[in-house]
Amino acid sequence: MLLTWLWLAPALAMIVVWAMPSRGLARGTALLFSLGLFAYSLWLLAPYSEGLLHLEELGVAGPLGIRYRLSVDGIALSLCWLSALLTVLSLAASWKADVPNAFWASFLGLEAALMGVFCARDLFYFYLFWDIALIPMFFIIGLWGSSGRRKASLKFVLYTFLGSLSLLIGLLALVTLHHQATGVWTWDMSALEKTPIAGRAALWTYAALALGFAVKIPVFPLHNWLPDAHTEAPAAGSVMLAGSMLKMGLFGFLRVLLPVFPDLSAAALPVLGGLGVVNILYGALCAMAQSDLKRLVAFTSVSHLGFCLVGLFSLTAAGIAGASLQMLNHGLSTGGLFLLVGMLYERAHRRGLNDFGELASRTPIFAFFFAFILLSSIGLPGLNGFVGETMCLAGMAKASLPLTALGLIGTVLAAAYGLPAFQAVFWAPAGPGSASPGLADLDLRERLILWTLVALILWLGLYPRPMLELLEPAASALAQR
Amino acid sequence: MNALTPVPLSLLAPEIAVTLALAAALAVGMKSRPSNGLLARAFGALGVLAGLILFFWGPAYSDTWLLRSGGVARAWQVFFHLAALFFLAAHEARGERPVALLLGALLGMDLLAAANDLFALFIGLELMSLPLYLLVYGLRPDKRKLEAAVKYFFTGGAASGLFLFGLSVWYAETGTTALAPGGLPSPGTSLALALMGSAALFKIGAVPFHFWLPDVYEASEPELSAFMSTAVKAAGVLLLMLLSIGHSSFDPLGGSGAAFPNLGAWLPAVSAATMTYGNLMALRQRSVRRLLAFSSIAHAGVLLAALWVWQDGGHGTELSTLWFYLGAYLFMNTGAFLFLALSGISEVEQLKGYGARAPWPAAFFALMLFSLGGVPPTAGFLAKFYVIWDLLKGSGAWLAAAVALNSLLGLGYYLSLVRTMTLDEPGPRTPDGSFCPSAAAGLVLLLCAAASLLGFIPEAREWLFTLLTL
Amino acid sequence: MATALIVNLLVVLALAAGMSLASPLFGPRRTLPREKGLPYETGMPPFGAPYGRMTASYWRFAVLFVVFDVDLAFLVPWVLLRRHLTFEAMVSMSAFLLLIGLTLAYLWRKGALECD
Repeated sequence: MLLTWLWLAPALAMIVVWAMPSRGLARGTALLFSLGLFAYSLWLLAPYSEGLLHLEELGVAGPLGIRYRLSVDGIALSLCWLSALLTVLSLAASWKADVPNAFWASFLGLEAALMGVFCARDLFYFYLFWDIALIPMFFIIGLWGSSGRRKASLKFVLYTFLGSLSLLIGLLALVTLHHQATGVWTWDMSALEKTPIAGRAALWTYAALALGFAVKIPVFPLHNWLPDAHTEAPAAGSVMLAGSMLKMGLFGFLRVLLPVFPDLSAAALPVLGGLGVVNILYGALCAMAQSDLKRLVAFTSVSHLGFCLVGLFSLTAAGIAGASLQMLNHGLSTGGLFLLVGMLYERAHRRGLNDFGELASRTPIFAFFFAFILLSSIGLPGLNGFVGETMCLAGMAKASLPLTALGLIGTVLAAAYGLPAFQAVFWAPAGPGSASPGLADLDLRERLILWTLVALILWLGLYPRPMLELLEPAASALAQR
Repeated sequence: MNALTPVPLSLLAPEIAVTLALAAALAVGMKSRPSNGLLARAFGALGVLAGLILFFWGPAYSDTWLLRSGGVARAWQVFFHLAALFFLAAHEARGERPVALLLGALLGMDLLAAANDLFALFIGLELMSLPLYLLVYGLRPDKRKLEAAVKYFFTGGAASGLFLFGLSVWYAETGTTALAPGGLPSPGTSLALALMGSAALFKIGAVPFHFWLPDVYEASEPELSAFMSTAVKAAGVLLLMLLSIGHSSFDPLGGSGAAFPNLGAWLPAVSAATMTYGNLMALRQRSVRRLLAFSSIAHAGVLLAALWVWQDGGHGTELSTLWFYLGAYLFMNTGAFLFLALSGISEVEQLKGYGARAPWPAAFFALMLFSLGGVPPTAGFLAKFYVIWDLLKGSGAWLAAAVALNSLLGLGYYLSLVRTMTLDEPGPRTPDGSFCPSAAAGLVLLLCAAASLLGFIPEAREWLFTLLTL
Repeated sequence: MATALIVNLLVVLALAAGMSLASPLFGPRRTLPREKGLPYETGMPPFGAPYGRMTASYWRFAVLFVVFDVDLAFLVPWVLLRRHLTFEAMVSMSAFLLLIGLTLAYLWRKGALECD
C-alpha cells in the first residue's frame, strides 16, 4: 500500500480541492498537501533501503496477464522526489495567481499521474497513467496559459497522443508476441525482460515503442510540440512539463525498452545515440536564435535531454547513472529557469530578450538567482549540471568516440546560448521600450523557492555521492544486461 | 426442414411482458383526454424491466425452429431493453404515442435477436424499423423532422426490399428459410448474403449505406438519437453476425458454426472505410448533433472491426470484446445525447464557455467526450484497447493501426468540443446554466458517468461477459 | 442459379430499353405544333395543376384495410382448424385478437376512423 498512496493520495486530494468552497482554502490545502506528499516520498527512502518497496501488487492476474503492480528502484524513487518537489514549488510560485480551484486540482491530478507512471510495474497501468497525464496538462495549458494557448493545448495533446498510440500498439504487440513465443500472458515488466522475440516482429515492436517514448522526450524530428506547449503554458505548468513530464519518455526507455530488448538496444546505439547528439546540437543552436526567453529555455530542454539520451544509450553503468542524475538536474535547473522567467513575466508581462536591460542593478537578487541557475544549466563545474553531463559523456566515450566529441561541442554551445541571453537581460543598457524600470525585486516567497533550488543544485554539484548511491545500483543492474 | 412444431410460449415470456406494457400504454392513451405521458412511461418502463428480469429467469438456452432464447440472443436483448429504459427515463413524452412506438420497436428488436428463421428475422427487422420512422417525426409538426422521417422511411424501405430479395435468392439456392449453414458457399448464397448483409449495414450506418444517418440523427430528438445510435446499431451488428454464421444453434460457450468466408473478406475494408469517413466528416461539423451522428458512424466502424475479430478468430470468448464495446458505447453515447437533450444545445457555437456557466454538466459532457475519444482511464479507452489487442492477436494488424489512427482523428474533434466548452468565453447563444434533469434522467446520467469511469479495471470485460451469459 | 438471375436481369433490361427506344427509333418523325401537345380540356386553355390533390385519408384507410385483411388471413385457417389445434393455439390467437381489438378501440377513440 505504501506506493499506492503516492498516486492515490494526490488523486483524492484533487477531488477534495476541486470541490472546496473558497479559492483561498483550495490554494492552501493544495500547497500543504503537496508539501506533505513530498515529505512522504522522502520518508519512503527508509522502507526502500530495507528492500520493502520492490513489489506491491493487488488482486489476481487476469486471464490476459494484467495485474495491478507497482515497484520502484532508485531511479524511479528519485524521479518521484523530483515530481513532488516541483509540484510544491510550482504551487508556491503561483500563489498570487487569480485562478479557480480547478487550477490547483489540475496540478494535483498531474502529480498523481506522474507518480503512477514512475511507480508502475505492470505495463497496462504504466500506459494508463502515461495517458492520464495528458488531461490535466491540456487544461493547464488551455485554461491558464498565455495568448496562443487555445491552439497550443490541442496541438500538445494530439501530438503526444499520436506517440501514445504508437506506444499502445508497441505494448500490445510486445505482449502478444511474447505470448506466442513463450505461451505466457504477462504484462509484468520484469517478466518480460529479455523476451525471446526476434526478427522483424521484434524490430517493428521496438520501433513502435521507441517512437512512443521519443515523442515525449522529445527527440529531434518529433519535437515540434515542445516550443509551443512550453511558451503558452503558465510558468508553473512549464515547470511541471519540463521538470517531470519529459522525463516520462526517458523513464520509458529505461524501464521498458532497455530491459526488454537489450540486444536491439545495443544495435540501436548509433541511431538513438546519434539522435541524442542531434538533440544536443539542434536544441542549442535553436536556443541561440530565440528572442523569447521562454522559448529559449524550452530549447535548452531539448538540448539537455539530448545529454540524457546519449548517456542512456551508452549502455554503461556510468552513462545510465549519469543520465538519471542529469534528469534530476534538468528538472531542477530548467524548472528553476522557468520559474524565474515566470516571475519576470508576472511583473512585466513581457518575455522578449530585448525587452529588458540593466536588471542586474535594479533587481540584484533576481540577477543572482538567474545567474546561478543559468550556470547550473550550462554545466559549470561545481554545480550539478557538470556532474551529470560529464558522467553521460564518460559513459558514451566507452561506446562511441565520435558521438562523444559531438556531445562535447554541445557543452560549449550551452554557454553560447546562455551567456548572451543573460547579458541582454541583465547587463545591456536598457533601451527606450524596456520594461526594466519599475520592476520589483523578489519577495520572500520567491526567494524561498529559489533558495531551495540553489541549495539542491549546490549539494548535487559538490556532493553528489548520496544521490549517486541511490542511482547507481539500478544503473549498473541495467547495464549488465 | 423442421416440422412446424408449436413454439412454447414460455420462450416468449419477456416479449409478452413488453406486449402487455404496450397494451397498457395504449389503454392509458384512450382514457383521459389530455394525457400526460407519465403513466404510459411508467407502464412502459415496468414492462421493459419485467422483460429484463424474465430474461434471466428461464432456462439458460433453448432452441426451436422459429425462435431461440438465451445465449447470444439474450445478451443482445439485454442491451435493447437497457437502451429502451434509458429512452423512457429521459424522454418527456407528451402522450402515450412515443411510448407505444418505442415498445413496438423494442418488440421487433427482441424478435430479431431471437429469430432462428429468416422470415422471423425479417419480421423483427420491419417491426423494429416502422415505429422508428414514426418516432423520428415525433409529435409536433416540423419540416426538418418530416424530411428526415421521409428520408429514413424511403431508404429503410429500400433496404428492406434488398433484404427480401436476398431472402428469396437464399430460398431459391438452399430450399429453406431456416438460419442454417447452406453447405458450401456458392455464387447464389453469396449473392443472397450480400443482399441481406446490405440491409444490416444500412441499419448500422456503415459506409456505402450511411447517407440517411446524419440527417435523421440531427433532426430527431436527442434521446431518440441515443436510442437509435445504440440499440439499432447493435441490432444491425447482430443481424450481420447471424447472417455470417447461419448456424441455428449458436451458443457462445460452445463452438460456432462454419463462417462463410465471403462475408469476412469485405468486412475489414468496410470497417476501415466507415471509421475514416465518420471521423473525417465529423471534423468540420458545426452542429453538435450532426457531429455526434458522424461520430456514431465512426464507432460503428470500430464495432464492425470487433465483429470481424470474432469471426476471424472463431472462438467463443472473442465475443466479449464486442459486447464490452457495445456496453461501453451504450453508456457513453446515451450520456452524450442526454446532455444535449437536457441542456438544449444543438450547435457548436452554443457550447462556447458553457463550462463557466454550468460546471458540473460540462464536466459530465467532457467525460462522455473523453470516453468516446478513447482517453484513459475511461471505459471507451478500455473498449478500444481490447479491440486493438484482439486485432493484433489475429491477423488484422493493419486494421488495428487504422483503429488507432482513427481514434486520434476522433480525439481531434472531441477535444476541440471540450476546448470550446471550457476555454472560450460564453458566446451570445450559449444557454444559461439551467440544467434540471428529472429524477429518472438524473439516475441515467449517473449510471453513464459511473460506467464511463470503468477504464481502471481491465477485468470489466470479463465481468460483463459473465453477467450476460449467466 | 446465378446464370438464371443474370439472364433474368439482362432480359428485363433489354425489354425496358427496347420499349423505350423503339418508339423514337421506329415511329414517324414529326414534331407536333405546340397546341396539339397540350392536354385536352374541352377547348379551354388548361389551368391549375395537372395532378389533382389526393386526400391523405385515403392512404390511412388503405393501410387500415391491409392490416385487417392480414388479420383475416390469419383468422380464417384458425377458425377452420380450431378443432384440431391445442389449447395454446386458442390462447395465442385470442391474445392476437385482443390486441387487434385494443388497437381498433384505440384508433376509434383517437378519431382515426372518421371520414374527412
